[in-house]
Amino acid sequence: MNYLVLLFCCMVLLFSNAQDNLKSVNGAGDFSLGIRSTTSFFDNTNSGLPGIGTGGDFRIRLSDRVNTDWFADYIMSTTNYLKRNDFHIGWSVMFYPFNYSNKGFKPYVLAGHCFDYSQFIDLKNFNHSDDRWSSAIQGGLGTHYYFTDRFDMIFQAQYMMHLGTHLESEVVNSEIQFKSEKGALSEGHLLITLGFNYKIGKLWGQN
Amino acid sequence: MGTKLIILFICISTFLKAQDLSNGERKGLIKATGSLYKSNMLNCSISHFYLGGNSEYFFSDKYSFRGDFYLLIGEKNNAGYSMKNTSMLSAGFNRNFSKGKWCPTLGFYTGVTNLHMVSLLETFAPDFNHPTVQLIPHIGISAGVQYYFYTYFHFFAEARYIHQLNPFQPSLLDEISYTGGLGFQIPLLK
Repeated sequence: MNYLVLLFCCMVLLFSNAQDNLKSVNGAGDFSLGIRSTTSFFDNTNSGLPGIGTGGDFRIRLSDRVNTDWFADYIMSTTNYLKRNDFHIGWSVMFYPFNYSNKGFKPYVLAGHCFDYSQFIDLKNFNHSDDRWSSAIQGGLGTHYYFTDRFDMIFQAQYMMHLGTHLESEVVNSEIQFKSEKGALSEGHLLITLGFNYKIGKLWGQN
Repeated sequence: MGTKLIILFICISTFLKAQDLSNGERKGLIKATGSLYKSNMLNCSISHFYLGGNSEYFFSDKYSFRGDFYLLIGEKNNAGYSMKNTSMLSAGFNRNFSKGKWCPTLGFYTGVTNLHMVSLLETFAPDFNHPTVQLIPHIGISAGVQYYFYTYFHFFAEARYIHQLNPFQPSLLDEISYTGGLGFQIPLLK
């Protein structure tokens, strides 16, 4: 998490100095494409490093105050006992309570849903693994920072909670064991995302 | 095929009205480079040599989108394992501080590494009973400088920091790579 916070601050300082072309726009219909990296903090791992992720997204803005984000992420993390792969494909609705023009900082609240594929692999024996598909909901806070009226950076934190069957790991006598658990909301993870998006154009309406 | 590419290049060169790169104009520029990269891993004594290249599109004078590909072609290794046949694919954005023909840049990128790790020592191998090809995510930052000495060519030098996890144990496979050379560009817009 620390390096993403540091990166965000550095990027604001280094990428800024481009506010000259900023202007207020009618945002409905904006379509943007971007890249992102997500760090994952799982609540059930056995003392490992935070996961590093890579992914992409596109956004379709419905109105000045409401945006939608459609994303795909691949996140990998390792602990002393297991390697964990997570694939997220989903969408979020972003609501702008304050500033909604494409200028400077633009905070938002987000909520959404995703499909999640998780794979647990025993580091001592890669043949010992388990995986599962599930569904999840997520919610959180974030902010855009606009370098120009078309190019922005986001920094967001969200908590994701799984709704279906999920995997859990347990270390017994220095051996890792996997088990599937049913039930909602008993596993989750904190996701910190840094991303960059460029507005390609408008799907409807005019600037 | 080669003749067609030459004709295409001549047509593009003829019909395009070249940007004045010496004034710091970059919007619309497409550039490509290919080079040898030397890298040093930060957590173990391994040096890598990559054959790499990138292409970049400047959507404004200050910002550009860039895609990179790297293929490991050699290494100098004092560790117990080797990363033969590893390749990397990444995409990111650059901030360009253009001043005349000079253009210092800073960038952020993310992508995946196709990691092929093999054990060099039998004593290192007990935990290596697993598939050795792993697709792992990475992120990184880059810093560099370009000098646009001609409409279609530039010199460049850059360093990249790559941050990625070791998929076989809770450790990092971070490395710093650096390179320099001659790049090619096509100015598409006035």
